[in-house]
This record gives sequence, C-alpha cells and structure tokens, in this order.
Amino acid sequence: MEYVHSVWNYIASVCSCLHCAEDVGAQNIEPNERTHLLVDPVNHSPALRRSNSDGLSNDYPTHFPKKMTKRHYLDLYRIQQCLLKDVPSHQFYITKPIYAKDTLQMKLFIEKALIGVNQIQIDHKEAVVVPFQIP
Amino acid sequence: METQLEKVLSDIVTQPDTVGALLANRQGLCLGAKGDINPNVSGIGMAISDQVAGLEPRNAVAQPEARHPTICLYSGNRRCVIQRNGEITGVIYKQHTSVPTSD
Repeated sequence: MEYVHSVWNYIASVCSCLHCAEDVGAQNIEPNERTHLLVDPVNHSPALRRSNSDGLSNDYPTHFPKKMTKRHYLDLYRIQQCLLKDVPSHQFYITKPIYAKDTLQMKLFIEKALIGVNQIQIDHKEAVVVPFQIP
Repeated sequence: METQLEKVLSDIVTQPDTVGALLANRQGLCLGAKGDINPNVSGIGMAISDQVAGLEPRNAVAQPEARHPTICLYSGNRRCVIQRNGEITGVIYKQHTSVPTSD
C-alpha cells in the first residue's frame, strides 16, 4: 500500500513539475508579480522551490523512485486496470431487442383503445345533485 | 358504454402469446383489464411510461413518436410491453412460447 502511495505521489510530482515548467516559460516572456519571488534566494518556502524536480526529490528522497523501471510501469498498469474494472460497460445491458411484432401489436392496441375511450359517454338520466330533505 | 373498450381488450388477449392486457388513464387508474394481469399494476405501468418518455425530451420535439416510447421488460419467459399514447397507457403481458422473428 505504501508503495502504491509512493508511485502515486511520483506521478503527482511529475504533473506538478510540468505545470510549473509551463509557468516559468510564460514568466520569461512576460514578467509578472511572481517573477521576483521565484528568483529571490532569501525565500526558502517549499511551495515556491517546487519549480524544479531535483529540489523536490531532495526534499522527499525516500518517497519517489529515481527512475521509472519496467516494474514501476507494470505496477501503474495494474493500478489502472483495478480502477477501470468497476466501470460498467453498456454491452452488458443491451441483451435483448424489442420485437417488431410487439411494437406493432401495441400500436394497434393503443389506437383502437383510444377510439374506444373517446366513445365513452355518460348519460345522466337522473339528477346528479339530490337536495337534502332538511325538515 | 365501454363495450368498445371491452372488445378491444378481448381481441388483444386472443392473439398468440398474449396472456393479459390492461389500459390505464392519465392518473394511472385502470380503465379495463383482461386475462392474466393484475389491474393494480395500472399505476406502475403509467409511471414507467411517464418516466421513460422523459429520458430524451430533445427527441420528443423532433420526432413526435418519440414521446410515446415502447418499453419491453423481460422477466423469465414473460415480457411486459408498455406504451403511452396521450391520455392512455397500454400494458400487455406476453408469454414466450416460441422464438418470434425479430427484424
């Protein structure tokens, strides 16, 4: 479990490094309010020093593998397979098609029934409201 | 008064593989039932058709017939076909005796 955590952290660090590299590239073109903070040698905040992966590895030397070996890739593949295993596939649900015979039968049934329902009429032969005979 | 409705129900039950038929109004009340079908399921049939019709409201605008989808529920060797058309909902129970030709 600990090993899985380390691999996951490594992937997260790679993603964050790429993101930071893009930020640095953008800053070279157009300086902004963060530019002077990143180059400030006095500032030792770990959040800002994460702009390069070497510093990150030095901070947490035991958590990240130095190189991605074949075994690491296999483990990553295994984790992906575990995550994707529970996702249902639509192929399991489409099992039986509806028969055209049933559709046609139902259509005719409903059409005839609608005619039958429309023919229903209530003839009031007696008074619907009967007055109470209050003494 | 409802002679026509009774005749329609009797006709549908005499067709092959059909074991029961039922008609429900918009409120889910049973208008008539024939054969091996419980009249109390009229409300359930109406509710199912109502819910299924709301699955694809966009199609209902483009294709008017999409507002009345035909639903088929399989259960063992029986199947329940439900369709709503405006005011009324029809439910037909069918027994699977032979393999029908599907196309």
